[in-house]
Amino acid sequence: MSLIHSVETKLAPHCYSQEEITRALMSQWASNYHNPERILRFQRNVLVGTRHLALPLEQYKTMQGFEAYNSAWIEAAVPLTTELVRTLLDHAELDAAEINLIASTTVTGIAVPSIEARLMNTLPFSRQTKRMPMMGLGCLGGVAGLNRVCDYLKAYPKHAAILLSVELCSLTHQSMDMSIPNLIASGLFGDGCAAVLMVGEEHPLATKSRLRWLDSRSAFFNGTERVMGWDMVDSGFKVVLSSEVSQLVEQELPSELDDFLKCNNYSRSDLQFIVAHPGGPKVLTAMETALALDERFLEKSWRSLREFGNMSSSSVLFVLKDTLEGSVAGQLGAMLAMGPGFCAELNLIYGMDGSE
Amino acid sequence: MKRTEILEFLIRILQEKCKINVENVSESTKLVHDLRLDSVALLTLSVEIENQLQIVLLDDPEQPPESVKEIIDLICQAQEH
Repeated sequence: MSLIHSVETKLAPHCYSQEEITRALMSQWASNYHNPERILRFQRNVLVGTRHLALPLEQYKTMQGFEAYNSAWIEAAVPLTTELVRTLLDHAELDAAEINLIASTTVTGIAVPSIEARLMNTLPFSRQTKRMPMMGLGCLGGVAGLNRVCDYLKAYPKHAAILLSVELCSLTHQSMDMSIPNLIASGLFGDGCAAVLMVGEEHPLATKSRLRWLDSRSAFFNGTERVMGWDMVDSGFKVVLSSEVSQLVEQELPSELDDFLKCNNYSRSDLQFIVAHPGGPKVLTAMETALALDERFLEKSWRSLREFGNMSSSSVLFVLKDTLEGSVAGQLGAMLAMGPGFCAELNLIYGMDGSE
Repeated sequence: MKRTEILEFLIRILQEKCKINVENVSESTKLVHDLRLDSVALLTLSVEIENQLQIVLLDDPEQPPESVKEIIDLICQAQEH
């Protein structure tokens, strides 16, 4: 069985209130709308209070084109993730050279060599470290990435592995796209990164880990390709976003979760905590309604949404870290995320006290 | 614009911008129940009406219009201002 030892998170350096970001956007966009107040009202309704951005707000006004945005993504992502992973390793008292696998997930920038390869030039990893870059999982990537690494650790129980998620969503900004999905994305998404240290059950850190990973479930929903994703255009990432997302949560998630739990001889009432990706207010509301959850279950997801916005694959790992700030020892929990495909990724985790 | 012209205009927006099948759309058609407009499509509809007609719709955010008739009423009201 694989174990989740610890989680570290890091926000992008420039913090702004939703009002400041909306005002800056509207200074560019207002002339395209006869009634800018409707747009402002809409952006307030996404219930995001503050967001962190990779660059100072004023810098976005002058940036044009995919090359500029993607270069800025790499320039910002490498130092941010280097510091993040260094902190993760320091807290675990582990050397970089003791890591056997680094997996990375992102959907907001393209780097070849990929981001975890660049990390191998900034931190002293072993040259034999295996790498597993995952591009395109989107909001699913936090849970899916964690599940794939745990699958690996079942095969290599003496190994240690890191999942790295970096999402600088602001650097996918499309200043010329006046579509409503782009307005939603501009009001919702923020920048951050997260890393999770996981070990196999025969690794020395196994008994000091905080969570035991029990099982995972992937679920793909055919014919939903246009629900969420990117259209790759000359200017970069053009968002595809439909409000069918919340309908799919309501239609698909309860039966999928119930069946997954049943396969593990559990039912929904056995769950004591849930770590859910905070996709947006409608998605979280749909999740609460469809799964009949009382408000404490998604409280941390709501808080993450309010304080940081949706940081794609990183967000659910922020919620995981927040969950581990308290005690979950002896409790059964689940992680849930949905993303482009359209699809869902689930897992079942069990809290340990981390000091055995 | 007369109500019949506004209806034609709305049908065009629904078809071109909201990507909705506009067969049998009349004033009594319900936006969510009959046309299955989601929140993205509803916002698209409002923004396109305001941009193309250069008007401001005075809809109540707490009670958004439910039918094509209510949208036409709002457009008529805005045109009178």
